[in-house]
Amino acid sequence: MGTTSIKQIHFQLSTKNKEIIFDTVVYLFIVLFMYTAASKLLTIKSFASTLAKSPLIGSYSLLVAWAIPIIEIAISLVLIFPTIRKTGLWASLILMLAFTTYLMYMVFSGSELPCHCGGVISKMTWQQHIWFNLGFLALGIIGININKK
Amino acid sequence: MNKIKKVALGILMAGLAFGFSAFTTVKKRSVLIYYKVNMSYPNANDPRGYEYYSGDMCAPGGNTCSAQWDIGTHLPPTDGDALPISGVTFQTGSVYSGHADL
Repeated sequence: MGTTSIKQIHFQLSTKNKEIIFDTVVYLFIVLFMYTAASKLLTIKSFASTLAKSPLIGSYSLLVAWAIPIIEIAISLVLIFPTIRKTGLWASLILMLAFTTYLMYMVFSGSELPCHCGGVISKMTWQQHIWFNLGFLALGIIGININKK
Repeated sequence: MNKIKKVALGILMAGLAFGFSAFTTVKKRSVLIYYKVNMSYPNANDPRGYEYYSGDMCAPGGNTCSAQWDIGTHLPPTDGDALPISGVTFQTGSVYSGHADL
């Protein structure tokens, strides 16, 4: 009987490549958060009004409408500085997870969906928005894992 | 890339993203969302029956809740202002179904 050798394939990335991937993920999050934060801040009244229609947010709409862009800007600032980038990436991941959970709850709970999503991806449907967020969640996980090794 | 370059690139990215977003949002301000509040004029591309509200007034049920109109040189509206009948351009594909829930 012959012996079976199991070949394990390892994708070895050099330290430099890992750094490039990590930095790219970080910059993508900075661009996303700053873009969406500006968009929300400039249409804060409309954004708050949309949030007010959400059964989960309701009367806290104005507070949440201000809190979201401020948190996004704060995370972007943390992501800018290399020494605290990893913390920023974890924060980004948690924020994206919160957004995605909210979107999924709204879509799958059968809640009445507010008509205008607003922000950078205002042309997207709620389902497309979920896929977009999942993409960024995946990027965040890749970034954190690459930085861990 | 050293740390200072990374910080500089990060600040550049953040500034560009924020600026670009602000620029595109401000640029769109002559194109506004108007709500069809008077269904005596049911056609979405008929400027009659529309009023401006800054918030989200749409609720499910109905064919025309809102549509985007380019108000051109008209002064920016305040809540409750009717859409001018002339000098405005309907934005094709901007109709949002539902009904205006004021």
